[in-house]
Amino acid sequence: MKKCLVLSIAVACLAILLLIPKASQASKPPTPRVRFAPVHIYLDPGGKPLAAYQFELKATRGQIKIVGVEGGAHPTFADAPYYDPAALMNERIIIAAFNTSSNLPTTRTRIATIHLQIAGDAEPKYELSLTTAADANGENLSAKITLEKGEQK
Amino acid sequence: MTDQDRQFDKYGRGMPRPYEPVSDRFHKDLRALYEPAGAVPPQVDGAILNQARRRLAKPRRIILRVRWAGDIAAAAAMVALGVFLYHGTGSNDHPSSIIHNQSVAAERRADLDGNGRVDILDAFRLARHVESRGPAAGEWDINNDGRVDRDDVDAVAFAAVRLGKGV
Repeated sequence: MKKCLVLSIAVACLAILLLIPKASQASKPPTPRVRFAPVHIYLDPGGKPLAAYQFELKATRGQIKIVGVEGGAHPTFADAPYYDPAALMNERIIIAAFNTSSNLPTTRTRIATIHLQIAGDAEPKYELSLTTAADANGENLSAKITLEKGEQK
Repeated sequence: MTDQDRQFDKYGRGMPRPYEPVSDRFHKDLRALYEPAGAVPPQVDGAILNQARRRLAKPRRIILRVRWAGDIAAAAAMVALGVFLYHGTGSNDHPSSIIHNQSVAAERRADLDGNGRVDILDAFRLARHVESRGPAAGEWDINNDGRVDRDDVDAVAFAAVRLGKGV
């Protein structure tokens, strides 16, 4: 009797394990449309040399995943900036960079490009905030940060 | 007609022969030959039966105990696994917890300007100091490798951009 009970529980567990993947596949909604698009981040230091910056980007609407981060247009910030690798495949990222050289941008420049994977038809909405920007002496700058959406693929 | 044919005609082909009674003497001799030598008293019979029952009952009890012990051990293992999964990962002795605590401590030290948050300006200040080759404070050795260099700058910068940071 007991043997039968144990056997039937084992068979039931096995059946559940075998059926769960099929059930989850069956209950999966149809895959939404996925596209890739870059977001270019620009910073205008207002005529003063930009030596360091830090900003945060997050999506407030739409389903996005960050898939890559690229450096800026100016040679000083051309290398990939600092970011948390955990931000990849996430919808929020903190990006920062600095340079101690004397060749610093003083006008509006692209400081980084973030590559995104966008799921669904809804157009994502982003929230961009500048944490800090500083000149060569480490003094805070009143810089203006903006983003531009790149061409979707 | 032979004797054999006559016999078949008398009883019929394939029919059993009728019972032929044996003599009393022959019956007695047979019984004496196959009967046991002495009758077993009922007390001896009962004692043997009781002893046999006791012997046969012991292993059954042991088997039952072993089965119960197996069930109890399995249940205990499941409870232990559940407790480990519930509490084990949250323990302060867990390696990931130790690394997390160390990184939180490093983040606190990474706030070089003491403004209450770690940002890229802390890394920038440290980088400028490293490049100037000036005397370095011991607390700037963020990664605890015994020297203040570019690795410490990177440690501060990564602390600045870490998601979900405490400082």
